Amino acid sequence: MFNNLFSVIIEHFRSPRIFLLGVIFGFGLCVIFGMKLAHDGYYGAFERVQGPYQIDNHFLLSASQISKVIRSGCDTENVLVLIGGSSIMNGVGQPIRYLWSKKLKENLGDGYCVYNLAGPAGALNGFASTTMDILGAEYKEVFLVSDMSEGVVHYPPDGVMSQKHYFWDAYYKNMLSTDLMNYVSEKKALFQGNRKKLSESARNDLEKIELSMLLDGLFYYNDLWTYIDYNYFTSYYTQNAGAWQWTPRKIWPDYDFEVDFEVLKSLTHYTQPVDSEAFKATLSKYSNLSAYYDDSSGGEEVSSRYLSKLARQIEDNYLTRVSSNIILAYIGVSPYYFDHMAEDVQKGYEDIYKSKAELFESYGYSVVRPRFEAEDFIDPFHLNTLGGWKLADEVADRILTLDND
Amino acid sequence: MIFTTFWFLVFMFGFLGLYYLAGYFAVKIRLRMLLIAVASVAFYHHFTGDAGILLIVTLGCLTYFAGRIKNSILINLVIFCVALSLVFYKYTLFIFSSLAELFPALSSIPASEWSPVVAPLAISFFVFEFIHYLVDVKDGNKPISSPLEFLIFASFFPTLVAGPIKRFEHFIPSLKHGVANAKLISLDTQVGFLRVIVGFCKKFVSDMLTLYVAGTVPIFASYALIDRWLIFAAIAFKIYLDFSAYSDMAIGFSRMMGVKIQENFNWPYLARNIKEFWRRWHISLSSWIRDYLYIKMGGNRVSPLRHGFNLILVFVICGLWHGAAWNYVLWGAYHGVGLVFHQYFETFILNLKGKSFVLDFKQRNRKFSSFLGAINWGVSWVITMVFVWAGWLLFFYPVDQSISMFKALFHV
Repeated sequence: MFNNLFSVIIEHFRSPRIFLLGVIFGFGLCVIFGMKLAHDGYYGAFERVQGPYQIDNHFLLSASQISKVIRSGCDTENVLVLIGGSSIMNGVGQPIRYLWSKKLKENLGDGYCVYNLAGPAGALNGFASTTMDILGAEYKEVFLVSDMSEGVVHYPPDGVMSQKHYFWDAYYKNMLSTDLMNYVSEKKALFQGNRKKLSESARNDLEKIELSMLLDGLFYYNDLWTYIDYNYFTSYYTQNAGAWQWTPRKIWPDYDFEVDFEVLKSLTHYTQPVDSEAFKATLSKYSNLSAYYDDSSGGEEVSSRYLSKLARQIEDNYLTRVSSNIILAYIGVSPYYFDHMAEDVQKGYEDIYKSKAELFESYGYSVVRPRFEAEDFIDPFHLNTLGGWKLADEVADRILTLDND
Repeated sequence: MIFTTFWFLVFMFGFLGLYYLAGYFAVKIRLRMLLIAVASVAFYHHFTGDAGILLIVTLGCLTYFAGRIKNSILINLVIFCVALSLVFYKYTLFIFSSLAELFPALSSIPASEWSPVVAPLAISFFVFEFIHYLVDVKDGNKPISSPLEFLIFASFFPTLVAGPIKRFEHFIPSLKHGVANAKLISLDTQVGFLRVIVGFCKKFVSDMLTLYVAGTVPIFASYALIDRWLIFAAIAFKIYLDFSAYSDMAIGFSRMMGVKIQENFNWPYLARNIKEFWRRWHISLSSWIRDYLYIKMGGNRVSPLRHGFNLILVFVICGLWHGAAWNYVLWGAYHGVGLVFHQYFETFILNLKGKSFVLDFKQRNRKFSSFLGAINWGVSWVITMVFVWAGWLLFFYPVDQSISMFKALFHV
């Protein structure tokens, strides 16, 4: 029946020449529309980028759109503060109303714009660092704030897998600085070498991202599709979308519920019983420090091999060239867990933090370490509003100091 | 899905460009044949690597030479080898783990160390095509003489990964016609392109349904009854749209090259009985099973009991073809039993229709009997769809989960 129906339609439209012209014309129109969208802005303002867009739900954030949102919301006379890093910096566990980056903006006052571009499992390199490069020359000053969790530094400039497309989007649309473009060609051999160490599927994913963004640089389909997805219809089903699945992303609610501040405070203390299996499992996960210590030192000193490897990674990271404008926040594990660790493990954590912080500072980065209480965490590593506000205070002080210097 | 990767789109665009360009040369037929062969090998190598290529080349060479020599014993031997390779690559681990559950002594044999963990891409498809080729040659059909044509038959990239399973008697003339006549501005290109677009649209909807199903099935029982039926339908449509999208794209890409490929689906969810369903669903596989298993086992010329047994057996094999796991076996057996039941029921109804009191009743109550006919149409369709869609539960989920989901559809 389908084939008959199909044949009937085709038989009535027996004009291959007109059809081919129609295909070319239609495709061309889509490309022009995509280019226009990339040029105009269609993203709305946001408190944190992961809120309305939910990049982990198949949304390829567009570098041109984020830059547009920032340009339209922040005058170039202001100091731009971009927040990168993981879900901790994104503020998972903090309702929008009490989000730490909002408090940071309040603390910094007029003359500063804050944009939270941190995403789940993000790292120092990612949306924020790429945006820093795109907008670096336009603003009076740009600061990048990220967390110093394990694994944040040893990424190539395109960052973690979920954020790589953003870098290549900017790369193939010539939005990056010449300095960064040159760095990418200089370090090509290094990136290729690192790529060989990846699993086959990760390598395939990486090639897929690069190829798709190369094509997008020519045809602009991503902007066309995300425009539809954002404004009219989301093809991605998720429980987070609200009442009707497939609703446009612009009306998706933020994933942290809005609650009254008093209620929020009563919810903040992490109350998992210390004798529970989950607690013990998490604790044991954070008690294994063998990767950082030399056996020969009897567990007394942080391994020089680990530190020299880290130093090499910092050296290789493009961001080290602008390290004086980067603030790394050490969050660590919740004191609720830390207090239950064995003494030698506690000492280990302190040693590692000190060694890492010294190393980063020696390369010109700024490191902040707010003093957190158990009540500041929503789980072993994510801060709640109280913790977020402490972080905001510390980071704001450091930015103001650096800016005044 | 390979057809929706950026790599494939670039590959296909480049290939078609060269293919149409080759049409301007005097030796276009030879050139296009070579182009298809090289593209097919490059395509398969990209997705499987050296090991996959080695297997298809080895089995292909054996099949080609056995067909050329046309010796029955040799052909039988090669059919055995080809079938054995499918069993080895796809089912060794499954057979050993199942036997180890029955005979715990066998669990000491480390089958996972020497048996292949992943079967080479498309092995189920090309093995069935090779068997078809050998059986038909043995039955007296003229074998393919040109090695290049055989290479293209064995590795034709649009149909290699997910069918339709080709028949060489139909494919080779169509291929020859295609390479001789394909043009960029032609009805073939237009029809093929539209067919690819239809496939992409189906795949898009199917992916949406896949996410919907993945998000809702774990909490199936918590939904209202109407939503459970919606999820039930979504499961059925996601597999139909996904699989038929593959076929549409394969048929469409081939047609853009001027090559007509056999249809694989014909509105299967309009079937009014299970037999009709299998005439409309994955037609290239069901016709393969009919021609090379069912009929070879005696078809309907055997005793009713043996006929029933044969039907169940071929559908168990059909289930296993889809994957090496017990749920596929069960799904196949489920359809086999359904077909046996339908067979007996159909015979009973035909007998009943021939009875004089039924004929008298129909003659005297014409309006009422056409009303009954319409009711019969609707009821048959509903029963068939519930049967087929419930089968998808067995296909995708463990037995206990399938049963509890099915019960939940009726508030049980």
